[in-house]
Amino acid sequence: MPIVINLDLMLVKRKMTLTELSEKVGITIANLSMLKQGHSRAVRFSTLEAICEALDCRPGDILDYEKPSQVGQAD
Amino acid sequence: MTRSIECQSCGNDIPVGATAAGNQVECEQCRTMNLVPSPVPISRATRIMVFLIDAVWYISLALFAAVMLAAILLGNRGLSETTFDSGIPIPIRVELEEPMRISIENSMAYVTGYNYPLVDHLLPDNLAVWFSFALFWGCFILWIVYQVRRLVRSVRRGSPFSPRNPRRIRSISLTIFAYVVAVNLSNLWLYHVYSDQIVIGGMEIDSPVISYHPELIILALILLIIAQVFEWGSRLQADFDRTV
Repeated sequence: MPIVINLDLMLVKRKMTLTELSEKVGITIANLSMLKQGHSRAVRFSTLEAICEALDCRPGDILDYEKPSQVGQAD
Repeated sequence: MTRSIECQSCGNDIPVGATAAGNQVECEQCRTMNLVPSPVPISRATRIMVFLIDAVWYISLALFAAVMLAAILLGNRGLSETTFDSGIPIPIRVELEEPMRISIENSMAYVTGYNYPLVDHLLPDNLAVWFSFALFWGCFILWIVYQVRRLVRSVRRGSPFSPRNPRRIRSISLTIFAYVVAVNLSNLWLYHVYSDQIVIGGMEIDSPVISYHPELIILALILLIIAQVFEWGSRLQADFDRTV
């Protein structure tokens, strides 16, 4: 999928664990883990808002777009 | 407390822990990864529905087994001699007047235009025939009850829109279509076996009766539409389950 999730990067930058983020955002670790690993199909605006607030970042810091050819080269 | 979810690929029951919601578990049978949905509270109506369909399922199984067992036991006592080709005397209960016609349907002979049977027992006193009929109709009924039971159990699990359910509903619908075809084949067979054995002065046996069973065909078509709705529902459910 060309949409890349940079949640793990932001967590490292903010020195926060997934468990801490889960407690702050109110979403289960399993769901956050699914998002982090790119297994989710959609993200609610409310979830994005809560994550941005907890990590003090913008949606673009978490979500990125890579063209399929770039993804192929990266692989 | 453990509960079970249904594999989206093969329908196998997968036991999961109470805190497994949101995780992925592997089906031991087909190795498909399944997302564990959040547990949903079971309503009283669902509990009653599950109890009733379980009761119907076990009663159907017991009846089917009893009929089959009785046929086997009676058959061993020498009651299963084949009388397919022998002439079977058919009791005539009504005096007919011309120009009435006789039709054969569902193992009975009718005067065309009347609902009561002229002869209500066309099948020979042959255990093999009754055994075949019981096996045939029993399998139809058991299959439908089994599929309905699986549907109800998926509702109890909180996953009525699992990808297996549209297939189950479609299967029930096709079984009903098959029933209509089987009834007509049965009528055709009865006609060929008995049409030359019913002889009443001046009367003629009508051509084989085609039972269209419009009520069953409409039911089967409605079920096909419901299956399509469930198909869409299962796609939406898959999207919903993977939305964070």
